[in-house]
Order: sequence, then C-alpha cells, then structure tokens
Amino acid sequence: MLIARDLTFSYTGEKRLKFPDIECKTGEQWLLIGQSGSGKTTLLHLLAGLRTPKSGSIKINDTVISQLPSSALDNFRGKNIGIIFQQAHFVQSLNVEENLALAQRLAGMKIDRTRIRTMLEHLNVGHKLKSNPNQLSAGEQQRVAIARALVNNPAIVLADEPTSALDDQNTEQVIKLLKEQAALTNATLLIVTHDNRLKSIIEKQIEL
Amino acid sequence: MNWLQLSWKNIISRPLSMLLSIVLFALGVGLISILFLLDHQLQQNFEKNLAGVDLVVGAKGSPLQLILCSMYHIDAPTGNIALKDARPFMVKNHPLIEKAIPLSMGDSYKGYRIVGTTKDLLSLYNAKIATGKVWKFNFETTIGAAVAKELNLKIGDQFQSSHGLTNDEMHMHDDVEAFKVVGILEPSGTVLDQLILTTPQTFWLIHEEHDHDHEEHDHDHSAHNHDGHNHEDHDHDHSDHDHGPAAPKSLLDEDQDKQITSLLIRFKGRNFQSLNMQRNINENTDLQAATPAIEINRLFSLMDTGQQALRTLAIVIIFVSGLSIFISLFSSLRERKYELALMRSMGAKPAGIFTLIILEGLILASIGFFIGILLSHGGMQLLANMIKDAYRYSFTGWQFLKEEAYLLIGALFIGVVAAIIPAIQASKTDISETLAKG
Repeated sequence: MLIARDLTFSYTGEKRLKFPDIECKTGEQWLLIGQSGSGKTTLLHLLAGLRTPKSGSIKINDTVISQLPSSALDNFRGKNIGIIFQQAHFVQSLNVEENLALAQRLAGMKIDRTRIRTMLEHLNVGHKLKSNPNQLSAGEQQRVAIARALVNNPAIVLADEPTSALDDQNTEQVIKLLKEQAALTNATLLIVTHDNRLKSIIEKQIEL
Repeated sequence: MNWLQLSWKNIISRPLSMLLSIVLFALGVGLISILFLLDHQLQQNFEKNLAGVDLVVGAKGSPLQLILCSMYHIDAPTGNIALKDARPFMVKNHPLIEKAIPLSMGDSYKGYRIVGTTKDLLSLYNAKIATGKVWKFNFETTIGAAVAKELNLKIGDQFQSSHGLTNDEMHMHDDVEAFKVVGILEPSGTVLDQLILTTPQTFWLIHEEHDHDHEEHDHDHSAHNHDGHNHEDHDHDHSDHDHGPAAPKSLLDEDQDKQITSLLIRFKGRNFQSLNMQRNINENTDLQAATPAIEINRLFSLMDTGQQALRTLAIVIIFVSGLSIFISLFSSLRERKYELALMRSMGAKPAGIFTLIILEGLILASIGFFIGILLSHGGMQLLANMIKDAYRYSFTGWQFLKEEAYLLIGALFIGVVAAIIPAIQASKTDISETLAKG
C-alpha cells in the first residue's frame, strides 16, 4: 500500500512543484503519466525516499517514510522498494548474477542464488547469468533490472520510464513481464511514464 | 558479495588505471625495504665480526682501510710492519694487552683470502674445528666452512695460492709447494667462514728467496741418507718434511726483520692507559692503530648520507604513489557516480560507500606493498649473490625484519589517507540528482 498526500517539492531557486495525492492499494498497478518537465522523476524519487519532500507525507504499508531518519530510510528502501530506472545501470565490475546478489546484500538479505536464477529465468535472461551487463542488449538489460528490482520481494516497485529506450516489441514484452512478476509477489507497481504505448496496458492512471 | 569483494572486483575491472599507482607504490616500498635489509645485514655482518677486538695495529695509512682489511677482509692491506715493531705488543704478560694476534695477508686461493696467523685467532671468534685439526706446520691450512663448501675442499686436498687478493690465475705461485688442507672450521657466521688460515711463516716462504728452503731440503737428504733409509721411505719422508721437521717457532723468536701485515689486539680491560695506547702508537711510532668500533661507526655514518638520500627518494615515490591512488580513485568516481548512487538506492548506507572506497585504497596499497616487498627481497637475494662473489660475505634476501611490519602499517595508512577524500566525496553523492541525470 502506498499513500502520498499533499506532496510538494522545490529545487533551490525554482518554483514549487505540487503533486497530486496518490493512493495505491497492495498489489495494484498504476501508471503515472506526465510530460517531460512535469516532475515525474522527482515524484518517483520522493516516493522512493531518495529525496525528502518539502511538505506532505508518504506512507508505505505502515511506515511513514518521509519521517524516517536517513539510515533507517536506507534500510527500508533496500528491503521494501524496488526501483527500475529509465536506463538500466549496473555495477560494471560485476556480472549479472553478482549484480543481483549485491542487491540482496545491500538490502541486508542473505544471498539466495536459487532465487536469482529463478528471477532471471522468469524474465527470459537466465542464460545471461554470468554475462557482463554491458554485453546485454537494451531489452535484456531492462529485464535484468526488473529482476534486480524484484529479487528482494519488495512491497513497492517503482519504475521510471522503463520503456523509453526500448522498441515496440521489447516494450510490450518488458511491461508484460514486469506486470507478471509484480503480481506474482503481490507488489504494488507504479510506473512513471510519458510513453503512450503503456496507456492501453495499464488501466489505473494518474495524470500529473 | 561483501564490500571487500566488491572493492577487489572494482580494482581488477580497471587494471590499467590502477597499474601506475601499484607500480609506484611497489617501487617506493621496495626501495625502503631493501635499504632496511641492507643496513640491517651490513650491521649484522660488521658487528658479528667485531669479535672483541679493541685495536688493530698495522702500517700507516687509512684507518678504515686497516680495519676493513684486517677485520673484514674486504680491502687491501695498508702495508706491512716489521716483527720488531710488532714485538712489543706480542710479549707475554703485557700489562695491558690480553691478546695480540698477528695477521699476514696478501695471498688468496680462488678469491678466498689466505691469512697467516696463530691459533689465537680461533678463540677470538670462538671458532671450533669441524673436522681435522688446527694448522701447525707451514703450508698446512685450516679453512672456513664456506671456503670448504664453495670450493669443495676436503681434508688432504692441496692447492696453489695466487699472489694478490683477487682470483687471478696469472699470478699463481706454482713454483712453491702446495698448501694442504688439514682442518675445516665449523660455520660461525663470522669472517672466519671465508678464510684460509695458515702460519705467518708460510708467507715468508712463499715470497722470499727459496735458498733457505733448499738448504733445509739438502740437509734432509743427507740426514736421511745417513740413517740408511731405503728409497721409498726416503721419498715419503722427503715430502713429509719438506717444510721443516718441526713446527715453526713463535714469532717472537723469528728474525725480527721479517714482516707481518697487522695485529689484532684485545685489551685486558679498557682503562685510561689502554685508551691512550692508540694515540701513543699513532703519534710516536711508524705504526698505525685504529679502533674497529669507531671506524665502523664512521663507515656507517658515511653510508648513512647516501641512505638518507635514497630514503628521501623512496618517501617521495611513496608520496607520489599515494597521490596517484588518490587521483585514480577520484577520477574513477566520475565514471562510477551512477553506480554508487544506484547502490544507495538499493539500500547501501553512506558509511558502506565510504568503506568501499577506503577498501579500494587499502587494497591498492597492500598490493603495492607486497609487490614492493617481493621486489626488495628478490633484489636483496640477487645482491647477496653478487656480494658473495665479490666480498665473500653472506647476505640473504629471505630475512624479514620487524621494520617491514611498520612499513606495512605505514603503507596501509597511506592507502587510507589517499582514499579518504574520494571516499567522503562518494559517500556524500546526492543519489536523486545523480540518478535523475542518468
């Protein structure tokens, strides 16, 4: 469950951004639609606890993350929030499997290689286990990123323009897999996008 | 996947950019470590050979040369002294002198020095006979353990010496009789390991006219003929008695115009009179007296200037390598900024990121340190072989010093210091801003 109320934010020297209230129930899948410059990424970072809002509150399950001290917030984020970025980034010195293992460790979990393998196989990149991330195609990279975001069974999955770098075929496949996997762990999924291709795939939508 | 493993992977994934730092660090550490090793082993070698000698008396010249030649056998003699000049120090029951041991030098065999001396020299170094016996007759030798080992000499072996202290086949004394090995010393770790010991008189026999020798020779002939020995017996006796039937006399009873090279003197006690003896000798006689401890200290202080320069150079190199670690970590942060923000977004705390970068600095410094230590000990071993060939002193690359542990601590400290600014920078990265820029 994700509830955001009266969120505002302002970068130094810029006008205040005001965001609509959000309420996503556990397991629901939402689309947050907005044009470039509307503060989509800022909102996603607020929801992920990467930034502190100027005012307002964010509540994930029973935790008001906007009030957590930073160290507790880091712990909470690692365990409960999976984030997928516009472009999939990895720790370049690690292979695909190690990148997922790192996600488990950073969240304070034990490394579970079976879980890693299963996740990658679900996302049709099981054969890339030992590959270097930069050897993968854009579509493969985004699928590995999804696997990484979901490997710790987070309560909330936040995706920032996950399809903007992908062609139509890959977009469809990636979103389908993202939806499936989020549903499998009953995670709340929130995709921030200006990609109209997604509008037909996810019904619940919020306009910025 | 812990921070240590991750920092290790980060380093090996960028081997080229880390190479310079590591090589510089290794050079600096290696240089300092080899200086430690050299200094330590030199002192060890020098001190072991002081052997309680209070004064060395020889011909006028450089006091350091006299010490190096007479005590350490690594320089040429300053000249010779006549027995009549040395005699006052050698008389029995001298009020101040406990021991005065004559040395005659100038010949060698395959680079190992032959020293004409008395068996008192053995007690000076607490040397023991391993096999055979102490030399007694002229041309009999008792050899050091290293000589026996390196030249593969055994009891009963014979050899011709050469004039001079280097291995020079051109100046072989092939016209005089051969030396004969009668004893081998136990290894003592002192200069005795490297020496071939014989009587002082042997030197006179080699270098002076052989008239005397011939006379004796003839005398032997008639004596044996007279006794009516058969021919075979005669031959046997002939070789047996070639160098005189009796052990050579004490030097006190020899012709006082004969010469030796120097005297090693041990006092009965260090008192005012004995301390004055050195000055008396130097001011009032044609002899020179030098104190080993003082000359060796002088030598070390001479070397210290050079060492100081090298040590400074090494410290500069290490400082530069620290700077290089700093720069390579700092510039790698630019590439890895997103990566680090990503780790933060996955739950890593600033302290974790800080640890990661510090560990990278530590790993670089440790690798540099171990390569440096490997270089210095390998280099020392090479050097040891060269020193052994040139000076017959034993050095080794496989001795480790506690100074090297301090060096490790210093190296790790530099690793941390070099990494600390990049680490703070990395841990303070604004996650959101970095990720938004993507």
